[in-house]
Amino acid sequence: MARAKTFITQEYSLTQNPFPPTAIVVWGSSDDRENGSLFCEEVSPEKLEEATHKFIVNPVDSGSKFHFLWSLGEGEEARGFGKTATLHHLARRVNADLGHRILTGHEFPEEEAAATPILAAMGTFNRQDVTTLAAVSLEQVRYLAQTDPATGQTTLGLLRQRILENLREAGDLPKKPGRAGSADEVDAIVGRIREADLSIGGKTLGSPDQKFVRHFAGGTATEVLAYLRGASTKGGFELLSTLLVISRAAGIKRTFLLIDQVEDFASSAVPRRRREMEVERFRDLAIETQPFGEMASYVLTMHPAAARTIEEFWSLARLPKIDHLSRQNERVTVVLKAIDKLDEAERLLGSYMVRYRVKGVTVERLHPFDKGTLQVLVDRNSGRPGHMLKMAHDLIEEGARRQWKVIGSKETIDFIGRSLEEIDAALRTRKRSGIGAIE
Amino acid sequence: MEQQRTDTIPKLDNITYLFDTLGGVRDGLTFDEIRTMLISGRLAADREKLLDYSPGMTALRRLDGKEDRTTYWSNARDALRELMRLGMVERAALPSTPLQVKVHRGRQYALTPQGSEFLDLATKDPWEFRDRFYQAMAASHPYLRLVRGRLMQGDLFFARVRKADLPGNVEDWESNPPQPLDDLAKKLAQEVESVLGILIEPAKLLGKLRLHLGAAWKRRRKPSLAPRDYSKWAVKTVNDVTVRVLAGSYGVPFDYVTLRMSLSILDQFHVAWQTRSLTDRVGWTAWSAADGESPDVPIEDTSPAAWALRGSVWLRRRRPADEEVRDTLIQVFFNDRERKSQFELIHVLRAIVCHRLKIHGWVFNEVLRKMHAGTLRHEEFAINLDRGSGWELPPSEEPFRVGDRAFYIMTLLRRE
Amino acid sequence: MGRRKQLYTTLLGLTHNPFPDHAIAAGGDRWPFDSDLHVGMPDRFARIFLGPRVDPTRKLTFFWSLGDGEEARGYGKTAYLLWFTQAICQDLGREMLRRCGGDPSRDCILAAYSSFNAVEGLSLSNVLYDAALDLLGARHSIIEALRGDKLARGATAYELLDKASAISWAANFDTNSRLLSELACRGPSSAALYLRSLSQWHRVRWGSSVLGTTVAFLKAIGVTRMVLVIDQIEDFANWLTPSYKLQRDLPRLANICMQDRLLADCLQIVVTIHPRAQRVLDHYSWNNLGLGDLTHDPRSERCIVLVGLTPDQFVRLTMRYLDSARAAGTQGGFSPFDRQTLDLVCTLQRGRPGPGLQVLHRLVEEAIDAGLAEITLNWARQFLG
Repeated sequence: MARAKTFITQEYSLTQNPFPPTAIVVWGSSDDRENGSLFCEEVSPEKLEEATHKFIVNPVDSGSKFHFLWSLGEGEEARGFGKTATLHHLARRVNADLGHRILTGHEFPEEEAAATPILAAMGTFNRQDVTTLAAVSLEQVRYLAQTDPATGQTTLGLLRQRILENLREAGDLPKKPGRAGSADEVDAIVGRIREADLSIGGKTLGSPDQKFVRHFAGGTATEVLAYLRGASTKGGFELLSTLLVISRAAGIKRTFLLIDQVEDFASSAVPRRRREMEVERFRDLAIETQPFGEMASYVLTMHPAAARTIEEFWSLARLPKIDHLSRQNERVTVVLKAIDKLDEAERLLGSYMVRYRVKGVTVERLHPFDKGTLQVLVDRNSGRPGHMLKMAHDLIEEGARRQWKVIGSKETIDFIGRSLEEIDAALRTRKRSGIGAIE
Repeated sequence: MEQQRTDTIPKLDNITYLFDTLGGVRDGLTFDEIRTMLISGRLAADREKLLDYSPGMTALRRLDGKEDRTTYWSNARDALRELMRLGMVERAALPSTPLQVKVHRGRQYALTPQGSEFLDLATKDPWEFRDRFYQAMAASHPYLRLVRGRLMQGDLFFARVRKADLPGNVEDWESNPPQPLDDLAKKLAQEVESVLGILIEPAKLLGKLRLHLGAAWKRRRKPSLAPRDYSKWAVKTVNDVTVRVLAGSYGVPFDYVTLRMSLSILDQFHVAWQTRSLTDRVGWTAWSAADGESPDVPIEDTSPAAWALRGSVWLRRRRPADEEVRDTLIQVFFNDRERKSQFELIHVLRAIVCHRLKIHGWVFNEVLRKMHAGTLRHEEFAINLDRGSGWELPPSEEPFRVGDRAFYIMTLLRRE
Repeated sequence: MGRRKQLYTTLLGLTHNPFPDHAIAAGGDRWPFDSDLHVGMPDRFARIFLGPRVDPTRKLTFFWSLGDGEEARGYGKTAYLLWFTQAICQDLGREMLRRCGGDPSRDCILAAYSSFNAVEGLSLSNVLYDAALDLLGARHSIIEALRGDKLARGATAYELLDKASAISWAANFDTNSRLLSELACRGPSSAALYLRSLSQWHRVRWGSSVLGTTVAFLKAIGVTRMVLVIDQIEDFANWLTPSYKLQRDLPRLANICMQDRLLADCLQIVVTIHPRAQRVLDHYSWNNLGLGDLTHDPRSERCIVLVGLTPDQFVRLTMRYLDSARAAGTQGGFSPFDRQTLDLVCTLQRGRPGPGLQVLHRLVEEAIDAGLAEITLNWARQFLG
């Protein structure tokens, strides 16, 4: 039997399976299918614009702190809508130039955009080791220490450059850059960070983490990353606080802290006590502790099950309502929708396939899929992009294994292996009638 | 007392299963669709109550993500069977084991004229619907009539047995029930006398305790449990047997499960109420919350549903004036000298007020909601509710809710 | 749609949205505040939380907020306490003493604000540590002035060090020698830097030592009384806190108030209290600690109960916020709102300023999105539901 990869190349004109094996974005991965670099803005441009406007642009002017990115549905039905990919894409866009292009693209004059640099950091809950707010905070710091494959830079590196530029402009360093990482540079950066720290009033978590500051000032990305990778989650808050102080030293006006997979934290498998405690901590950190109170805005992913399990503690902590239906929350809420048009599905899959198309070959854009396949992919996955991509991956693998020259709707249904009626019936569970209800 | 017939109280967590199933039959749902409807209803109810995975097994834990195609089959079967027994659904075959479920999956059922009439009534007047539904169940279940009849004579009280009340230690209980039980029997008799004023001979209690505990220990399959879990099982078993033995003394000779199901049904129809939160005793208390008895006995060849639809509603749920409930609440709040804190647990206040007035907890909740909304005012005091202290709510109690918010403690503020 | 920042001005006559996005005040906030919003409140603060002299029967006093209906948060307790702390520190307590019949020439008073905080760990030691940091950080200029005055009158730094040491020894108290050196020889800012450099390990253990050392030094430079404001006790006194912490720290609090030879004669503590905290404290036998009842009776001289605002008070508060953001040449008053809108918000929030201001924030944002120049009742009703 031919090697699958050979078959994929020869018959499908693809250098490899273009789709991610899981529906999960892995930032920092060298695999472009997984690290978010293939995010296609054209799939749902209006949703992306809505998210950019509500989560990034508006808060710069209004100072709003809490924002929510929703997908609807129960249990597994609420996953795979692209929340992670969307947040990750927003973060990369912001960090690429500290928000300059986003802001100038939303009516900020050049000068003002240049004077209003912003930053975004993402942290993701999971069910293994990132189960507390401190752990997510550490993830957010690590996020900025990862190299962006598109630019080859880290965001921390950008911040360091900015501090150096400011120092040179202020005359605290010679205008002509000396040896990178020289003692003068390091001391000047450390000094600037100390000044930024001292300028913070109110309750803080204490002085910045000096080792982190020194590694950062030294400018070697691998050393910074190594230090952060070795850090304990217990130190997560202090490290994130240090990051904010560093950002302040770089003139950052607002830092967006994106928190993904809140449903893993808000699962009813997490003891109630822990949920209550972590929500209280979140409130104390986000509002009552500086510089978080002044500098940070938050975007949290949310879906109905997650909202239910933390709503009680959230409102007890006097945090703003999470409710996606409330008009009062419209300004800070984006609800991702399923793909329901074939051209959206085509753009989604096409953005991955074009990246891995064998050069010099002329085939249909979605070959080996056809439009019938697209329809089945949309229907069977309720239009959820993550699941569609995963199923597309599995179809390519199956197609190579079974030597399908084309993967049409027939092959797809055959692969799925269940009748349409069964699936539809399972989706049609009746809700309670309310007969005899008195409350 | 009428001659006791045997009976099977339906083992349904919630009477809404009956109502929803009736509606499902009307709408032509199949057995399987009724089953999944009950599951989704249970999950929704558990979510509303913010029930957690621990303690205990909730439907959420059992069912969430683990659905297979026989989950909850017995609830669907029991609901249909009960409706058929009541004469609201035409009789038809039902599965008796999980293996038979697949044969019945696609089966549909038919309403009787009385079933349709009940559904019409539900849309017009849910209270009358519920009252007549209860009347139908009472006509059909002599056990329910027996328990209710006993409650109308006076409260039922079942003292709670704690681990410290049991002789010996966990290792001793491995092979045999705790012994000797003489002190326990005496203690139970004393508590019943102190709370209800009823005299029970300890020796009689002792005999029954020994008998039923011996049987329970014999029946026990012996999995290897950690001592802590074994201890919990032992204490629970003693409590279940205590309930059975005391119930027998009260003239209600049921096992724990049957008694619990009966009281649960009476509670859900607001015919009786029950609590474990009264502060002058440790244990489970139930009382009648409704007056009225059936003016005649059910006729043999008339279905319970048809019989219940005849004539006027004879069940009268107690509903004192809102002001009386309000004033009792205020009195109870200030008079309890045991209480030190100025914020009191709502569920405790509710238990005391409802016990004093012999009403259902629902009535208290309604009055408290009106006080909270400001539509029922007291000249001297306003209330302040707080959502803290949820940790102090025992699993046997429902939180007090206003909309989707649960409140657990309250105080009274003197108006300026 | 135009740039948001410009729309605040062009549509609503404001430079920015003056209202907070959330209902929670915190130290370091710079929101407008009006201490006279509740009539007579400054006098009541002075009388009940300070008093003309240290009263042994009122070492610990309570600040409640309770309203008709529900909730005990969002009434503005933290804002009031931050104001109270600042009001005392800015003139060494003179104005507050005057208000309650005390003798400003006899006493020199400082205050510190501290709060239980779930991020760092909940313990009395953390709170006391933060109180010392608040004094030496946020209030450093007044302490520096007192120290400077002593030095100007001929005392040396070492003499101040010796005097503070003597005060500690007399009270059988072990000072933190590094902290005391910093205070005496370099001043409060340097001392604050030192404290900030220490880790959580120190904060959990050194709280009373750090505060005690600070108080010893303050006594040496002429401070005679201290008010410690402790906020958010409900974060500590709740059912999630391990019982050993409550069993350990509540008696320690009592000791600081009543028996500690360094602190008990000069320290008064104001605690914000909350319904669920009361139940927990009762459970841990609060009444046996000798610190008095956890009463919320407004007639008591040991507590102040903050109630909701009347509609007029809410309007007045709103106007303070609006005035802080008026664009030049624009209309004042409560524009862009109409009166009925403000009354509605006040009623819906039962007079609680925190949530009320939060709603106003959203109304402003929604008005911008809708391109409105006025926020009227009819429109607000649709938005508020």
